[in-house]
Amino acid sequence: MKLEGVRPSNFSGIPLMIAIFSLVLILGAMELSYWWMWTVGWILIFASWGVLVKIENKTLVLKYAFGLLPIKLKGDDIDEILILNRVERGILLRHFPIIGIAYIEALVYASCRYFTFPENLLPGYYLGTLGIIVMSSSVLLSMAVPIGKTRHKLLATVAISIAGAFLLWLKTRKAEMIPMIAVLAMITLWTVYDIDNEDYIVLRTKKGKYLLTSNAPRDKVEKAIKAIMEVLSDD
Amino acid sequence: MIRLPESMERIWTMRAKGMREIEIAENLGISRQAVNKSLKEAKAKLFEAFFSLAETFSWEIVRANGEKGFMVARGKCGGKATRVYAFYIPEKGIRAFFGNEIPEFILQHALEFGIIKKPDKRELINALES
Repeated sequence: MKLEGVRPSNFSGIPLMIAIFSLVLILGAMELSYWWMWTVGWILIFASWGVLVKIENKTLVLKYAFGLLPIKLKGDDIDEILILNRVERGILLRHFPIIGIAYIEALVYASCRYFTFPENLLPGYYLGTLGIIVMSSSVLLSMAVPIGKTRHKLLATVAISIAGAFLLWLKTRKAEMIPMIAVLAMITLWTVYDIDNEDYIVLRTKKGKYLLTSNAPRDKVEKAIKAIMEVLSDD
Repeated sequence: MIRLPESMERIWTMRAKGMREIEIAENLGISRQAVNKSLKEAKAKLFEAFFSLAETFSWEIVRANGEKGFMVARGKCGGKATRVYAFYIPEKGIRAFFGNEIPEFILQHALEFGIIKKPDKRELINALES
């Protein structure tokens, strides 16, 4: 039985390793200008995303890599189910700290690039680097603050975007880049809002934690949670 | 109220207090496989009990832990939304509490089971709500 509207996340296990590796490839491609690295990096990013969750014989099957990589979680191996967005202080980074390391890695890389860039490059170079800084720091902050504090997170994202615009101005001294920063800020705000308004189901096993996400309507999420509960329960 | 069978409860309690499966097996003079099977059954029974309880009272599950035997749910009390904290207590069964009305014996239980490190109500709620 397929769980409608629920997707496995790449915050742990092999999918996380693939995501981190793809990030290294993408950043490496930016550095070395190898297009094959860029392409492989993006293919691997998509491959690290989960596509579906289904239940087969009291086992949850999480499918990744365009459906080619199944991760099986037997019901009796699961010690805990936690609906992260329903606890009072649900913090994504507390449960999945390694994903934070990936974002910190991107943030450190982009910051080093920004400060070592010479002054006379095309504005696109600075914009790309600042895009990574603004996006990764906003997402990192969003995952470090309890779910549900959307207003605070959006305000912090606005502040980060303003700081990004200032850093861009320091390098380019051109006002025509402001609309680009505004577009970047809108995309980041939407991303932060989306992260904070998803449903997060954490499954804890002896081998580690797994995250299922959903932005489906409430009734579908409830149905999926009930189906998982049946997997965990005694016959 | 649901109670685990006596021998299963003993094994589950030893594990929940932090003993390893092999230590439990040696302690009780049974095989490690028997301990593992018993723990899996105990966990499934506890999940079943917590989910049934939530369904009976129309509570919304927030968190259910079969290893340490506790549940957090969202419920209604006198028309007001409230938190429900339920614990499986060996030899007693499940005990549920609303809001922060958590008695001293639950703090002691949570301490023994390694849910918290000191018997403090705020620490317990923090542990359950994060």
